[in-house]
Amino acid sequence: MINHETELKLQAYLDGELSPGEAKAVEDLTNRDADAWALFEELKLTKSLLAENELEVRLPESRGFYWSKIQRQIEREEKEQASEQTEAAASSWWLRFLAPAAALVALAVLVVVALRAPKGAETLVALDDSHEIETPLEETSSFSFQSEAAGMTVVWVDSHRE
Amino acid sequence: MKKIVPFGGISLATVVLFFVYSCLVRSGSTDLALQAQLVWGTNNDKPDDPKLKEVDAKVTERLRTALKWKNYFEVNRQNFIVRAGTPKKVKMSDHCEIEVENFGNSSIEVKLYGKGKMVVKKTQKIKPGELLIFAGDDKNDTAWFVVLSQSEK
Amino acid sequence: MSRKLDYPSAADDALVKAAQKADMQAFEELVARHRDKIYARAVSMMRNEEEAADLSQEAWVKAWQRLKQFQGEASFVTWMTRIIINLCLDQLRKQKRLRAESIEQLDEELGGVERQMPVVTPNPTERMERGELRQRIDEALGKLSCEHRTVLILHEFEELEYKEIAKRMQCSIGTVMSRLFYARRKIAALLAGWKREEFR
Repeated sequence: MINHETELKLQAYLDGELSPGEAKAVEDLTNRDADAWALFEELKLTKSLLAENELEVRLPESRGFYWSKIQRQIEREEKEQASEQTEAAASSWWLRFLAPAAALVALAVLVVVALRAPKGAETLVALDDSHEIETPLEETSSFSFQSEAAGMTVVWVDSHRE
Repeated sequence: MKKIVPFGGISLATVVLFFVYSCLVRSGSTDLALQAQLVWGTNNDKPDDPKLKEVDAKVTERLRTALKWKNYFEVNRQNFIVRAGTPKKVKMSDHCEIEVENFGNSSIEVKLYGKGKMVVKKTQKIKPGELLIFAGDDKNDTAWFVVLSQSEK
Repeated sequence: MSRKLDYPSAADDALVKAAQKADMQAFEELVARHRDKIYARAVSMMRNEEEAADLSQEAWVKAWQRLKQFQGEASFVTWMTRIIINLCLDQLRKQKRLRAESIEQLDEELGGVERQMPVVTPNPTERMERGELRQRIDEALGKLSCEHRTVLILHEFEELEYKEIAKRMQCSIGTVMSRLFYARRKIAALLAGWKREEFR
């Protein structure tokens, strides 16, 4: 019976992972040992069956829909990144000018809060170049895509609540 | 001279009739007959609620070309007419409502409400045979759809 | 004056160069060309279509963000495939479906069922249509442990060397060899079993 080390050597020979010297030794073994030869043949056949027969899978989404999701995620992440950078820049500025800025910022916050309060949640978000689309709630966003082939426009509503 | 009077009467009647007719035609063309379907998309073969019917095969096929779900079941269907300048609210479920405004020339504005709050507003043309769909994710990898189309005459 | 790129007929290299200059339309064309392959790799590794769709989408987003790092040493699709493989491996580790090496080694040293199997001839091709054979092979892959399946995919489908697989799976070359051996033997046994059923 072949030991495990030899089994792995046979496999490594099949996969072209042995040095020329080792490869020669394994070749000799398969020539004189029927068990080794049989195992080598099994591994070889399995390898060739797999290599030529991977199942073909297609993404079950239209080109337009799939791309619109990717584009939307790219835009969302770029926006988040930009706001993180702004925050980082703001925090370093704060560290240097913390004391004198504190009063100013507090004042600014008050003004912003006072100005924003009456507007409520009526924030307009333009998400589509070709059509007018609005998502007034802060916890939702939307994007639209068109499938000319299917004659349809889909407005996808995303809820950011986890 | 006598002949002029009846001819004038006919002319006047023709003008009046033409005016009335054109008014009727105009008002008819600006009324938009729409159909709204609340649809639930799933990969399951059967709906959670056995009362739900499968969406019409042609519409299902169209949905499948652009969306990933295998099966679509109709939760509710409403046929309604929207007159120009008079927005129409249509309740699709306890939580979902749409409001459609007809701008004429097949151009509409649709507001989608969820639990009484406006979620999204979309303005665009809806030609006969075209679908305008509002959609969102639901639980367990299912999705909801509000499918709007011009009613078939 | 620069000529406008004809996206559908442009080569991948030209589309990549354009996308590196923030041309989203060029990137969209690349997505459309290779999205099935990337999704298929995710499906084969995750065995779950929903997860695969999410991960492949994430892979394309990451590709856009890292596109400037792509120097063209390999083809664009090879580079993309590496991204999806790494995302799948990370996800499998997070879900603890990909076990730590120590546990795996212990399991294999004790000897699995595959260790005791007689040599078989897994040649079902004579009686099977190619589509059916592919289906059977996929079913057999689904019956393997996550570690065995992953190593097979990386070696047989992606043609990675032992060393590269070990690096990606964060284990030793010996473990890769062992996993690959058992995975192959199990697949052989499954295919041979089906063959026997066919002849019955």
